[in-house]
Amino acid sequence: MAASSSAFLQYLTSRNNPRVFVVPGDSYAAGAGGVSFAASLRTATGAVVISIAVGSSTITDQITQVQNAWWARGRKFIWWDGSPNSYGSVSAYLANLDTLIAACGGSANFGGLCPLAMGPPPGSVSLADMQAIYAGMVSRGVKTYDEQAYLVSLNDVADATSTAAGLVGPASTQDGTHLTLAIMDSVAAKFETDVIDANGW
Amino acid sequence: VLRSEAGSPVLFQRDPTNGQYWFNGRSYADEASFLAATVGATSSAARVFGPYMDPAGTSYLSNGTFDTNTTGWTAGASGSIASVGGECQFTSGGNFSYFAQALSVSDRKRAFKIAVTGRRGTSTNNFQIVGGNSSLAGGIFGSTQITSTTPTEISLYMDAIPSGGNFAGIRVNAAPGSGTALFDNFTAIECWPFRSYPNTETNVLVEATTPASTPGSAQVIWQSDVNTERDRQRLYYDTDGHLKWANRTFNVDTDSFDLGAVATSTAFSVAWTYSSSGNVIRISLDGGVAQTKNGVAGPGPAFMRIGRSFTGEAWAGSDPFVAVW
Repeated sequence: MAASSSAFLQYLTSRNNPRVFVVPGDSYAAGAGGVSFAASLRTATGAVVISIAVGSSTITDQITQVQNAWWARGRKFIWWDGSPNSYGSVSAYLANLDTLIAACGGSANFGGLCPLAMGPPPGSVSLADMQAIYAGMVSRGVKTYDEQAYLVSLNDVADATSTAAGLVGPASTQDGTHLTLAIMDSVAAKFETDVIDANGW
Repeated sequence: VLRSEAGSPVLFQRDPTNGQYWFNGRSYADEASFLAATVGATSSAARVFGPYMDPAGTSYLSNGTFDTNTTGWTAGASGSIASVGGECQFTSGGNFSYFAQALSVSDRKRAFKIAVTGRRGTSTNNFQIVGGNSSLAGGIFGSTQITSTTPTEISLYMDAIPSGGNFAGIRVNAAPGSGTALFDNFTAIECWPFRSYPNTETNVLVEATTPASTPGSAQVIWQSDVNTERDRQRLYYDTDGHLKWANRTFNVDTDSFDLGAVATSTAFSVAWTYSSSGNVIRISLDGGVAQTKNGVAGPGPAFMRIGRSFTGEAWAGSDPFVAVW
């Protein structure tokens, strides 16, 4: 037998716990600079949060993350592909999202956040595309909230041009891409109230 | 039955609360048959597993029969050896004279039963079997010694630790230390707590409920060892109400985890993985993010104990669920 991963050990020691969230995704979920959505979600919810996310992963990698985590079936998944690596198009992305949702057991078990469009203008990816993906998430029954709009509302005054363009400002990030701890904690806290609590998870 | 991360059924699962027992691909109707299959035994409320030795196992010592010579063996501390009548005649030159040979192992996490048949010749000394360093001055010392002219088998369990602790041999253990003794059939056979025990990539899950009161001394929930407290891995409930895990080699706790406080009468779940190839330990309590230590050199186990250590330190909490794979 091979050695077990940290995620699997967490699964084992929470197998009798009804409140466990499994987090696939990219570096936003896995962590960068000591900041991860999984850790902030753990703080916000007090629940067991098991990260299976991997930095620099694509959405197809994230499908594999879930498929490999056979032990997570039946649990609630909370996904965040914050910075969509190797992004192609809205239609291709939503097709992969459909596969991801199915791998997680359907939208009843599936929550998450949309990839972000980051400033300064013209932005890291198309805001219009990300908004279309968000709409696709909502239409598929993904448990979510519009964190793009929420984060823009948190933009620093120094990021006025990003705010005007509807993009997340650089001041909210450590490195132009990954969120600061304070901003990540805010995202997770809002996910707790607007998604987890609202859906009785 | 629990499954590994790869999806395979675990090797060993003991679930006394639900009366379910599983070993090596089959379930057992009761604990008695389970213990018979796993080389396990009861020890009051505790359970002790091991040692299992492969019936076809071969010795990791060369020339243990001394038929024509003593090649491979070295004597020291004024002792000398010679092949006499197909035995090893050991002439001791003083207290702690010895002869020894390094086991032919280059990796850790393996345990052995070393055994030899011996008898006094002209000596009135006691002769002790030892597993340890090259001069047998440090190591694991056998409790039964050669003290008569009647051929007697003596043995002990040792974890062979290359670079300082993989020698097996005999030493004089009482003054004045002169005269001869004769030894034959010196072997070192690998052993495990039970058949197929994964000593190089060990995964363990322990679930139980803490006792009703904080212990006055450490209580051992799970331990693997070589019938001594010198080299071991253990999960225990400490006097400060914390669950802790420790790796001990050469009588030193080299790598320890304080998993945190767990209140009395509280259910808990601890899982860990030890990889000797990567020398990594990861351990999680109750769904928490796993703590990790690298560079951990663990000892090999011949025994696995549930609810006690080698010396005692009995667990007063609930009878634990234990899975190993």
